[in-house]
Amino acid sequence: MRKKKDTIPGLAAWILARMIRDEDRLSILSDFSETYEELINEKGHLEACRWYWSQVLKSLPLFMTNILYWRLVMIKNYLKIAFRNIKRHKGCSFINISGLGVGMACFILIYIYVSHEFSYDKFHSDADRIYRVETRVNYGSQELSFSSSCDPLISTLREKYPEVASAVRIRSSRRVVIEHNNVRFYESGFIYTEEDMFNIFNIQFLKGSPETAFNHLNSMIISKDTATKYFGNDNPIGKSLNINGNDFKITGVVQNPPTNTHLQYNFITSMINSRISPEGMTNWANVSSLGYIKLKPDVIAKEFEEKIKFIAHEYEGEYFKKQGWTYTCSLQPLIGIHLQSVNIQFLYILSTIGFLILILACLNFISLSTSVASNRAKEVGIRKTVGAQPMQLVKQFIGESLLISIFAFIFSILLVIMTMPFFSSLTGRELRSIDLFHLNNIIFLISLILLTGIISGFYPALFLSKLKPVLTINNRLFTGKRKSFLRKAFIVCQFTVSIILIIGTISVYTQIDFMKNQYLGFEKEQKVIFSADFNNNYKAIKDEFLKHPNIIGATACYAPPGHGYNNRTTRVVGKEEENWAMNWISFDHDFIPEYKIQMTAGRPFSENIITDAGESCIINEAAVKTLGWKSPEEAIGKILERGPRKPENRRTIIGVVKDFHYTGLQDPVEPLVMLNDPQSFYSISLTIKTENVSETLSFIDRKWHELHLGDIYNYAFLDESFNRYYRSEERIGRIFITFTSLAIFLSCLGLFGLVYFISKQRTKEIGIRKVLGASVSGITGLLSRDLARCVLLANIIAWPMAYYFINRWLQNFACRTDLSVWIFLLSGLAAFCIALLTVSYQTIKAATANPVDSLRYE
Amino acid sequence: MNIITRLEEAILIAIWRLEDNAYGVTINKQASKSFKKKYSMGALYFALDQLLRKDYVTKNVKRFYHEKGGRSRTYYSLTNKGKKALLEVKAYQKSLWEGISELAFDVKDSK
Repeated sequence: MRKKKDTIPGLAAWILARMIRDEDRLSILSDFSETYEELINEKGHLEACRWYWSQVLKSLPLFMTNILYWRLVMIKNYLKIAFRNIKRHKGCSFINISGLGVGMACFILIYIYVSHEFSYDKFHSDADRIYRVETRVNYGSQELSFSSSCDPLISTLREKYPEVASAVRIRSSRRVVIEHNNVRFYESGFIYTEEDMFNIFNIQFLKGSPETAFNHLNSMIISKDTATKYFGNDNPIGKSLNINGNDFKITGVVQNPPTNTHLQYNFITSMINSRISPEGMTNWANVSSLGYIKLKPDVIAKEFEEKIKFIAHEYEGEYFKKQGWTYTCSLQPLIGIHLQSVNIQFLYILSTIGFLILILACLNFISLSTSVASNRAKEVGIRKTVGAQPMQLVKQFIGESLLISIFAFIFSILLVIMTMPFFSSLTGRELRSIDLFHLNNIIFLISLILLTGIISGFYPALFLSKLKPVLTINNRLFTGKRKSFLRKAFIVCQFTVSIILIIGTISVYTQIDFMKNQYLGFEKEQKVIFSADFNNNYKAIKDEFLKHPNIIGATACYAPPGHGYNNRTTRVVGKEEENWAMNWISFDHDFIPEYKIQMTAGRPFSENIITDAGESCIINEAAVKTLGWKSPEEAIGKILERGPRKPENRRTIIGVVKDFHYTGLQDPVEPLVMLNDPQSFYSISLTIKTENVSETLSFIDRKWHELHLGDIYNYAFLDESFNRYYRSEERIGRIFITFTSLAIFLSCLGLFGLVYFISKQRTKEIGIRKVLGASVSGITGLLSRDLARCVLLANIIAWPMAYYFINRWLQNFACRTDLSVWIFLLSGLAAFCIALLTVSYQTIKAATANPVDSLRYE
Repeated sequence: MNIITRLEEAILIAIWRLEDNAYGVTINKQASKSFKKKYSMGALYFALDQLLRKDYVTKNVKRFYHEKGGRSRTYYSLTNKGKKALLEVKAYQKSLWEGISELAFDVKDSK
């Protein structure tokens, strides 16, 4: 006779076993096999097998209903207990929910910001096929990269290469003056382009169409916001705006460009209106328009890039050979353009911080839940005695932490919505919390809840489910070093993170302070700057301003330091084969004394020497070094030439100045050529006394209008505008300070929980000590000692890590502060004090408690 | 009076009849004898669970460690409440049918 095990359909039996509750499983399986055996004897094996399968399949729905019914009973009970516990331990629940909520809110905010940064330009259809054509020119002695390309390059790509689906050139005007109803406005985002732009980029037309957009000369498309600004609710089509003195007729209105694109525009007009000379349009060396191409779907970008690398030499080889230049092209994927301009390292650091803060919050939950486990221990004991399986308990407690995490999530969403405006200004991006509820993010949010719930619930669940029923009734749970070790490890972790963040914040701010107070090589205090239209009459205008007693100095220039320069190809006459890119700025003769710039050789410009204006120049030490002269004296008398080779482009060097930071402190000082060309003075800088500043400013305002110095009066203080350069660093600093305070807050919450636990655990010990004559301060010290050790250890771990990261960050700066030991000591001390303050309430409460109360029970 | 389903009624009667030998297999046999409509084993156990919940039956698990390959059987027996319920059902049906059995009426075979 065959053994019965061989004959029962294994799979069916397995399915059946899964569908039945534990307590009934064995009997039901036995019943099934008994009937099965009878059927074999009566009708044979095949029939029995059919019966078994059909019975299992038919019974599935009912078995499932049954099992769900029993589960539901249990879940109802679990939920009831969970809500009861949340209500009963209000303080604990509050700490848990608010801690986790704050952690989650941080994580969500950082997620929104980072994903916004990574989403740039991805909304264009076929964004992966769009590239910006970038160029790199080797001038023999020096190589420069440009994100722009030249006009003939793009037209060649469009016409001669079948791989290119469409190509477009874009030029932008940095600032235009618009006159509308006799009011003048400065506007930005004015671009010149071609019709292909609408094939490459997603630009949605609200009025008009891409086909008719550029039908006429001087036709223009404007963005929705611009249309509303100038025409309100009227239909702008057919109306015109006066731009830089020319009337442009509006032929279309397009949707505003989204915030996450690097290509921002308010006005779009045809390239024809840009008035570039025909030579400019065919000159390969004129790298001044942005070029975008869209490749055909099956083209491999790498191969195509290789193919067009030396395209300029194919078409314009003679010229470049004669110049000795090498001209190469490369393709920059559209999606990567924005990420080049942001500090991607910073995004990674920020993401790490977000994740760490979430982990900190979870650690809090873990340490707090295990600390107050004594509240639940009896429940666990009873449940186990009645027959709960460890797995059931694990499920129950993870379920509870999921419930807490859902509450925390709701709280965090409220926080996110409330803090969004603040966070937007913190990051300098227009972020909206509504984007969070986009379909793509729902999965992220759900997994955030699950992740938080499971990370924070897993250990407490395991811990509680392993409790021995006998011990729980005895109240002798929390002995043993292992468990307190784990909680201490959490505290060390939390404080390590907090201390690293504190050190980071202090370092960022020291660096910013250092940069702001660093002597730039010139006086930047008390200088009022504004642009002015001199009409070759700058001396008289300066004198007009100097009439005021509080204006003690005036100087005219192309642009004050930090406000612009001309980068030009430069040669030394006599060594024409070498080309250099140098910055040229025009200043009048008052600039060097006025800004207290030191001369190292030669003489400054003089008003009385006629040749100084137009024929001489002064260079800085960096230029001396770049051009390979041994000493500043050697440079005197040499002749520099810029741009085309013409006698009027030559300047004799009459002096050398000490390097001064005319750009900002992040960058090393680049070679500079100062010249004295009155026709290229566009700005004026006035030195004013500190008394009666507002009166002086209103005088300047009045004079400016009196002398008709331009369209729009817009003044600034030089030192303030210089501080603008540190905006991105200040932003990093502010973000650091925000998240550091949050991390500290969370660590303190965790610490509070730990000390609560310790003092509770040692109630009796403290009572006995007090009876035997211990003092309050002695007991407070005893309780704080553990904590002190934790924070000390955290310091030791945090210091080298912080040093490493901050040193790497500081490498980005040309001028940087030294990382002093004080920053580290101070941060450590700060963390220590905060920790002590947090626990002092609990320890003092424990120490001052009446020993009678603590010893009475039992 | 609690309404119980026909299947539950059949099961209760089967358990009553079987007395000490009422477990899954025997109940199934007994009930399917008197209950013409086919039902699955799942339905049987589901109904048994429902009856348990209503306190009409109690169960008693017996394990056979040596004989029958270490099987286990769950024996069911009626509680007083279950018996009362069955009697109530019986009385109810009787009252429903009162007088009708004396009437002479034909059930025509339609086929």
